[in-house]
Amino acid sequence: MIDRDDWTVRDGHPYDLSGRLRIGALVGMLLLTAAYVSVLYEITTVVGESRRLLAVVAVALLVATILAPIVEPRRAATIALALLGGGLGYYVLTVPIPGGLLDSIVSMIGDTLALLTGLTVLRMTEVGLWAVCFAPAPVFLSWYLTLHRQYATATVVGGVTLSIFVLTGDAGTLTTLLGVVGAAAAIGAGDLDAHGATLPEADVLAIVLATMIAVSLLVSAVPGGEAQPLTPDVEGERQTMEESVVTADEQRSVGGPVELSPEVRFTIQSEEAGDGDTPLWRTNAYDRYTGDGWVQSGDTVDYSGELDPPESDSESVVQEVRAETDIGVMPALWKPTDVAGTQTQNVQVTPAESFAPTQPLSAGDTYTVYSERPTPSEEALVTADNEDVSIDEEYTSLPDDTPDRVGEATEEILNDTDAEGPYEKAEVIESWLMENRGYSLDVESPDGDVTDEFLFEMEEGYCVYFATSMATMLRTQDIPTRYVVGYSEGQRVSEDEWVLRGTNAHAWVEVYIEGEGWVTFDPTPPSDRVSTADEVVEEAREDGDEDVDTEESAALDGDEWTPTPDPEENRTDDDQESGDGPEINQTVDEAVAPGEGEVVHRDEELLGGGDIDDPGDFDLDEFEGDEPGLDIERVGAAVALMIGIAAGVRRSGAASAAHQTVVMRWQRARGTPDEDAEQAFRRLSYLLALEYRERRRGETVSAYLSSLDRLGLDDRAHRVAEIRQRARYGDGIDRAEAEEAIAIVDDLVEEHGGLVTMMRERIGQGG
Amino acid sequence: MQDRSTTDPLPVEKATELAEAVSDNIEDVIIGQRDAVEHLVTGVLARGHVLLEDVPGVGKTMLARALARSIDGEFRRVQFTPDLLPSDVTGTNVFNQKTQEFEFRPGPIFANVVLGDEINRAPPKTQSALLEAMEEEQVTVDGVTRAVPDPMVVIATQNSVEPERTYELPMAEVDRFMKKLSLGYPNERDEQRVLERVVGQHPIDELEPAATVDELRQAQRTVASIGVTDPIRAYATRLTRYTRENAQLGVSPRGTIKLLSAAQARAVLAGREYVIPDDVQVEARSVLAHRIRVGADASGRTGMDVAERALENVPVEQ
Repeated sequence: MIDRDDWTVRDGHPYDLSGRLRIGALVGMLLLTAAYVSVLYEITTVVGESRRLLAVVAVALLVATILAPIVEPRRAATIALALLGGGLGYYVLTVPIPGGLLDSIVSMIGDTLALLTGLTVLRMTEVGLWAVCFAPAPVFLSWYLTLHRQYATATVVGGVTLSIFVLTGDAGTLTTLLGVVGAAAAIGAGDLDAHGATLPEADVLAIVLATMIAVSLLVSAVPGGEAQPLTPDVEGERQTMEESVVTADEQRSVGGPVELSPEVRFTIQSEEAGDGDTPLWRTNAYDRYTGDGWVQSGDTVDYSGELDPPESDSESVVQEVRAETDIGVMPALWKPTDVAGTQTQNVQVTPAESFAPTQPLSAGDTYTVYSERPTPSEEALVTADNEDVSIDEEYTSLPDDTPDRVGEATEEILNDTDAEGPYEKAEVIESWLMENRGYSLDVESPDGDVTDEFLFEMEEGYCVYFATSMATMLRTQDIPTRYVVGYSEGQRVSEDEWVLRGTNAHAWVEVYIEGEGWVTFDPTPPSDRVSTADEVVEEAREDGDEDVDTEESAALDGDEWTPTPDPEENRTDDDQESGDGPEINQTVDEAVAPGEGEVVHRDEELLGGGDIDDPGDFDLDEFEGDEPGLDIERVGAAVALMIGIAAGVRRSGAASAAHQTVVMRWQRARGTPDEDAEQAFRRLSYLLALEYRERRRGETVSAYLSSLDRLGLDDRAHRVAEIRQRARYGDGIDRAEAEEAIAIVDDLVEEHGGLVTMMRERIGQGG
Repeated sequence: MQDRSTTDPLPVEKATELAEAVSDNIEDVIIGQRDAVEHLVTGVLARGHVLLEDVPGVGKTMLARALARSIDGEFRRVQFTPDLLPSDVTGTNVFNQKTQEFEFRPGPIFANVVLGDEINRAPPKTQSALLEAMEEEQVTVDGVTRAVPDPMVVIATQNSVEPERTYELPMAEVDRFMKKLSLGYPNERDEQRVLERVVGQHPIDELEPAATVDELRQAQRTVASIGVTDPIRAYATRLTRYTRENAQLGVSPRGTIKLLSAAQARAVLAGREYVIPDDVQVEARSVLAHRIRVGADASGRTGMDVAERALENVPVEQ
């Protein structure tokens, strides 16, 4: 590294800020580091590795600080690469993936690519271990480079790391903003530090930083740019309940107000589904609770043959499902075992044992799904004690930072009853939630742990809150639970036919009972939910929305199916006689109730309300299979990202390396003989710098060349230097000599290897 | 006294031959000091004066005598003592009984090679008499100004031991010397060779001139005609400016001029018609170091250290 201070003496400027600017650059880099470490920290708190992570990060910072004065940058880069390789290697060797090492590596590469396309890191099975293995390399390298005053390169390292988490969606807006400001501060202050800035120059930096923060916060005021100007996945619209609950994603977050989409999604025909309990059409389930949402760990696999029936007794239920819009989920009653129909080749099985299409279904696609509906005996459920239960710990684990009072409150509720086994406890919690919390779609996004907020801060919420809270509360009692999403019953348009709308999107809970398997619980107060949903459908009908009804449901004009014959009904004629009267009547009453309830309002505060912890991968396009439009926000974000990358590349020296390489490769258009010799000599210098070393500052050309002679310098280099010396210091050269010099350098470049080789070496040298 | 303008410069090759011949000649006497000899010769070719600082007995006087003999010039020596008067250097008017007139009896300064031994032992007034002659190439006695011979080279010596009995040369006067050199002790083999040569017949007595004074004068004009391009001037300026920025007192513009002259002579020595940065670098230490005063807080640094740092840190080409 060249220390410019050696010979340029700084003027004793009255506003000499170099020391403070250096501190500013260090603080900026720490901020950037803190940004991505905080993402990793959040991840590790979910799985309980946070202490190890902090220890590893602290050690990495310490080692970087110790090594900074004694290790060269290139060696430090090697150390960082070794750290990264070693960490990920350790991860690969540790994670048990069947099929040996090669499969592990292939699987890891696949996972990594998947992560970069917006899947959360939390999907990984051993995410805690991964975070601990991954963290040291970027922390070490960026801090080392900062201490070496290589701010630009350091920022590229930190920025790339942060970008990974922005792409995976794990870094929220605030985190990203802090990271970006940190990066800007590090580069700005560092650059000013290197050039010995004065007060006015430092002022400019401060203004730029302030503008960055202010603009990125105020940009939300721009129409259509509501919440997250910094994340590439900008969500302009308030999400619907359905997006929040039922999608093909592996991650669900809880929070914020939602609205209901009244469009019809599916019609399901099933002779058996109407028997017994109200059907819940399940689409997926989640095992890992993050404090603000749910993540599904494990891999989705291709469907290959029937799935196991439930552990308890069961009855078969056949469902004919027809997609009414383009959609990426396949609802079925618990527990699905087999699927047939047009889409069979496209079916995958999620880790939660539900079917999912590889490609979104198109409107009109149909499939038949066979389910085995568990019919456990009440006695077996009650007497099960879960003493010998062997199930993945994921189903009972909670984030490190789950407040203790969640468990204490659960304990208290259970102590007031004589509930003993897991089944009874689940029933107690289910009914407690149903009775003690109200139903509303218009709630503020929770600020901390969802369950904690719902139990202690909130009066009402929607199904996601109820289901999350129930699952979490039972987990505090070591009862395995998972969070299930899908559609509630929907509109029963005839005895054996149901219409599922967006409004029916629902979340509930499955509790694992030893010997009986997963048992379904639904803690959401049903009547309020149904009435709210029906209001939305009614409003949409009044607005003339054509997607709201199928032929059958339109014929019913908003009412549920009743055993009265209807001449316009054609598909369900045969089954009209055997309806389930009382339940339907109740629903009808709810459905015709006057729609005064406040369903959805979009008057959120400027900065509040938005879900800042999740950049929002509720991608409507993915869900509905619509043509993705050219989203101006995405284009803007992409352009900003490209500019940033371009600047980073330039600052890191890669571009100048490329430029120098090209300059070295080709002689410019001819000038005077003296100029040409000078140019040829410059090309020779680049080549020699690549092959041997750069000429030192106080070193004359001849001293430089004779020192290279010992290393086997080509004699022709001396000839070029001699010609150029005469051109520069003597009385000039003629055209022939200039051409000779150019020809020699051309030959030398040619012999050295191709352009690509040079480019690589050049960048390898750090520009 | 000669008319200098009539002297034409030698071609560069001839000048190089002359410089090499003189150097070789001197080296017959001063064994193992090729660097110092070349520095002395380039100093002479560049019309400079040389200050030799060293411990006694390493051949300072012998170097000066050998130079004088090699160019077939007149050699005079002045031993500087505390009671030496200016007129002892410049010469004095003596009353001639026969002609009943004062007539000028030239001092030792009127020679081609003047050796001022232990110059720092004489009081400043006497020192400055010598120094005026060096810079102005003339002396003034009793109001009459007389030109000194051309060429006239002063080789002054200072002992670096016993500094308490000396009058340290003022900076303004040190500045008049183009170079300050030191010989140092010869290595073991060279010292044995010195003994072989010296015991018995001293080789200085057998030394044949390698050039005439006229030829030297011509060679000096050759040196003055050596090409110096802008990049060289810029480099020399960067070097001296660096010393000014990194020492209490740096090199004066006169120092920069002398540096370029010395570099021209060095180019002649290499048989080149133009100066390259290497020439500047070779001459820089001896030309710059004694012009730099480092100041009280230098913590042991010397002018030579500053010069070394300048060479290391100042970019040769920009």
